[in-house]
Amino acid sequence: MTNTKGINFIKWDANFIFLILLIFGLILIIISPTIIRQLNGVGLLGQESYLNYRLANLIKENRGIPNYDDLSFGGRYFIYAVGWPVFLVLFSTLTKLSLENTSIILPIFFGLMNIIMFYLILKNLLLRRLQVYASSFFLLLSPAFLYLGSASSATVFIIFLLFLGFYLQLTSKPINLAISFICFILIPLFSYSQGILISILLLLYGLLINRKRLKFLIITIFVISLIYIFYYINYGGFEQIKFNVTENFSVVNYFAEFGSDYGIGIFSAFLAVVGLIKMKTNKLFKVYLILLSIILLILIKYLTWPIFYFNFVICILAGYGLVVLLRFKWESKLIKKTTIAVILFGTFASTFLYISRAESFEPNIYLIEGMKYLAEEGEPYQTVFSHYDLGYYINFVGMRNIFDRYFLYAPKPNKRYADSRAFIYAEDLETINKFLKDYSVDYIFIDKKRYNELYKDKMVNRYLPFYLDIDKRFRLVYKNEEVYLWRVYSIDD
Amino acid sequence: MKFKLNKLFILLIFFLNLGFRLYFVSNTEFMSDDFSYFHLRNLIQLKTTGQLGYDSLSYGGRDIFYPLTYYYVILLFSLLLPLELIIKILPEILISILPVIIYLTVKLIVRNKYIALFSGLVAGFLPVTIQKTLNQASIYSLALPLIFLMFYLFLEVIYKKKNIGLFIILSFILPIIHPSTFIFVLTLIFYSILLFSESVPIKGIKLESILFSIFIMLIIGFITYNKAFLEYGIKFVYANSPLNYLETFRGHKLSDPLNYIGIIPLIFGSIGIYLGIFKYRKNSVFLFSSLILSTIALLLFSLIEYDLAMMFMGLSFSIMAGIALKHFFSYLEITKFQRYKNIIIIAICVITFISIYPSFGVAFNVMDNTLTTEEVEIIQRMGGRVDDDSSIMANIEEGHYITYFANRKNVADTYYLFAPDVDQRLNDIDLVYTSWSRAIALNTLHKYKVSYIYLSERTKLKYNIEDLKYIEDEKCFKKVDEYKGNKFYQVGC
Repeated sequence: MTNTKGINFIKWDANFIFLILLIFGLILIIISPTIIRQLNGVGLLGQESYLNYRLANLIKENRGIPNYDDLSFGGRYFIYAVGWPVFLVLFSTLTKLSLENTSIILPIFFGLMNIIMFYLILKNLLLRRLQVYASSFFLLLSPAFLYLGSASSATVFIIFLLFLGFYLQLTSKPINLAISFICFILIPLFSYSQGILISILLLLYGLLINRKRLKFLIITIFVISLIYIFYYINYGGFEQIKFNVTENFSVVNYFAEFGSDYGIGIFSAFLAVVGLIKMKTNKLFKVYLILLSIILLILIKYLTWPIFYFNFVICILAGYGLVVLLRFKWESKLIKKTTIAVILFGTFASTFLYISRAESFEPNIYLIEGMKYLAEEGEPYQTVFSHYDLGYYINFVGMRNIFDRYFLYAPKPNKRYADSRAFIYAEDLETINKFLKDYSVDYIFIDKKRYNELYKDKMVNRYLPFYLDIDKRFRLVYKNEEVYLWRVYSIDD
Repeated sequence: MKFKLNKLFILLIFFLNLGFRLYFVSNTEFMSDDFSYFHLRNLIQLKTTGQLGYDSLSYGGRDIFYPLTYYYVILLFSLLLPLELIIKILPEILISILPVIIYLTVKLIVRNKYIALFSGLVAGFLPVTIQKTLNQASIYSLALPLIFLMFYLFLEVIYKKKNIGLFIILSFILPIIHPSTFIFVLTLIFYSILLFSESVPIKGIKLESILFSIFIMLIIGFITYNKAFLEYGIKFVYANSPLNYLETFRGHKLSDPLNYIGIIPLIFGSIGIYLGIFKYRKNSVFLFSSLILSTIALLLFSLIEYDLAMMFMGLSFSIMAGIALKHFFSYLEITKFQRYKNIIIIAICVITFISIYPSFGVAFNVMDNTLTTEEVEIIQRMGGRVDDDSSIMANIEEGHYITYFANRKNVADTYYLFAPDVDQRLNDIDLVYTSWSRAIALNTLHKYKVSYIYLSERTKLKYNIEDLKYIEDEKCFKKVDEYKGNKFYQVGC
């Protein structure tokens, strides 16, 4: 008789070690961008992290949700999707961790949870094991996913809620369905717009793929709609913005390899195309993915977060694409091996290059230095004019902005945008004076990226920069490689 | 014996071409186009600093981005001989390999070395190739042989399943040579469409090699040129060329292809295309017809220089001419004219040599337009006069002469990628040479801190002027140097 117990033990042991190594590898990859940024002293990643940190701090100081935000848009009612800041405060209070550390740890944790949930969902959908592994592999190495796990944004938690809810509704247990329901209806508290997208996504899922759950999903969407109705009754309508927030968006923003901070990987994208073309097993699933991709691609043009959702679609298809390539009957083994080697090597190389760039992601060291100077020199509640993209950073250092990216329920966003455009492209002192007076501007803060966006292909010396140079009311008080800060003195001074 | 004859033919084609080229090259110590001096300066910078980055002279200071592979090849050989000598000889050696590749390609298609020899000779003496590569450090001297080697290897792979390894290696190398190599990708796309439309099956190694090379070349190309892609988005294909230079057909007549390609390749090539596509449905004819089609498509969208397009078309026609001859002789076998076969062969040989004759005219023309020692001396003297940070105004085709020989700043030159305000500068240069107004000219000259204006014979010819029209005012425009109609004016006001 052979000792099968012993063999099983060894097998289990090997599996266990593999699992430990896998988890260790997972954590290492996800935390790399954060570690690189922390080591280089560039702090939190992305604009939203600074907004969420500030809101969480405000809630913490106020011991509840305040009514008014003094800094954003020069002052506005506190109407934000507060889910994530509240979560940060709760977690920070429970664990006694600082808000900054909480803002670093939670995205990493939920990033890890997302990849586990992604794996479980694919496994549950009865996809081929190799495809599940491949898709998870592409997800883990995808720049958009790494960004998601490094920035303190509600999206990472919303995706977790979505995945958890989705996974639980795959089973028939009532308790699971109940938890799934709770997960879905929590989403609008974290983001108004993502709640709408997820409702559409669930409806399409029910209609095309899982008719058995259609009733459940319709009830869920109905409750989500009630939450929106509640918002509407409570806060009223909001002013629709009439300008394009992503005016400088181009196709390069889709791909991390072209320098985008959170684009998809070019190799995954290629495999995803192969996967989509060759997907024959489940036509409705294919239709679902195509519809989803179209919706997301349209949304990416106007919003930043849909790219993270699109990345999941890409990774599912990329996994399938890799399986297709591996199973394809190649006439030349050399071409097959080279193709697959290039894809795998390219994916790894692209990820490591992406991670190594983490330090330069926004806000980079120059912007941080500029913010520090502003915080030290400026006085609280002074007004700083800048591009709306830099608004969250200005608020973060305790100063007022004219406007920022949170346009929802903001006071007169269109007027502020139009006025600021008039100011930026002012060709006479009258327009400049009017703007400075209307908004009581104390500082003008701009970085190289936004400056180039605003004045690209334009004769700079016709507009505001000319006056910033020659008018004595403007004094350049701070300058580094990328950031410029002017102090604005009143005419009487 | 057969094997030896084959080798002899290869050597004959190579040395005939090289001898022809070296004869002309040895007549002058200078190179025949301004862009060669752009390469020379980059090579010197690369050799001394190890990198290309910022050029403080071109456009008064600008970033330089250029694929480095060609430079590395030259620098490698410069270990054996001085750089100034290598840059004159190596491009001639490289381009002399092109007719050998055409010979091998035609031999592979028609399996007749005499016909292949005919095509090789015709290709080697294409007027347009001589005009654009003779005595020039042109990157096409490397790119063209490699592109056609790639076509040859592709045919080898699909006909004989040979040289797959080399085909794979070249797929990696080609995109890092020059963006013009993307014509190979476009050709394969057109080729697939043509085969599909003719119901010719695309499967097995043909499909694999097409998809592989498209994938690899696009991926590597996008990674190599991602900086340009980031800067210009999809417009990077225009390489920031000035708007009026994009009108490819401007200044070209319908009869130009006849002069650029020659009558023999045009006639025989056209017959070859007809026979190959409509009668014999040959893979190779589809391939080179696709090259012609893609060149035409690029021309129509102004995505390729006219001369480069003519080179691709001329070389394709040379190959097609071989196919036409093959069918002509096969047809001859079954007619009564067979007894005159030798006379016909002699007649074709005579025609071949006659068709080579215009190439001598083109070569003499190229050499006539080469810089003279006196021109170089006057530019160098002027470089010595400028002792500050100011620029020298020259016609755009002489911009590189200013930076290389005078070692001084120019206002603009013919390398547009990442150059600032190209259209504006070109307009301003035109204005300085053609304006009647002293005030307008002075204003423009001050804008670029110009201290000297170079008025060469070439510039006079280009703008159809005898002299600057506002030079009566000697206080502002003083002639400081002149040699054989080439003048320098000092800007005094």
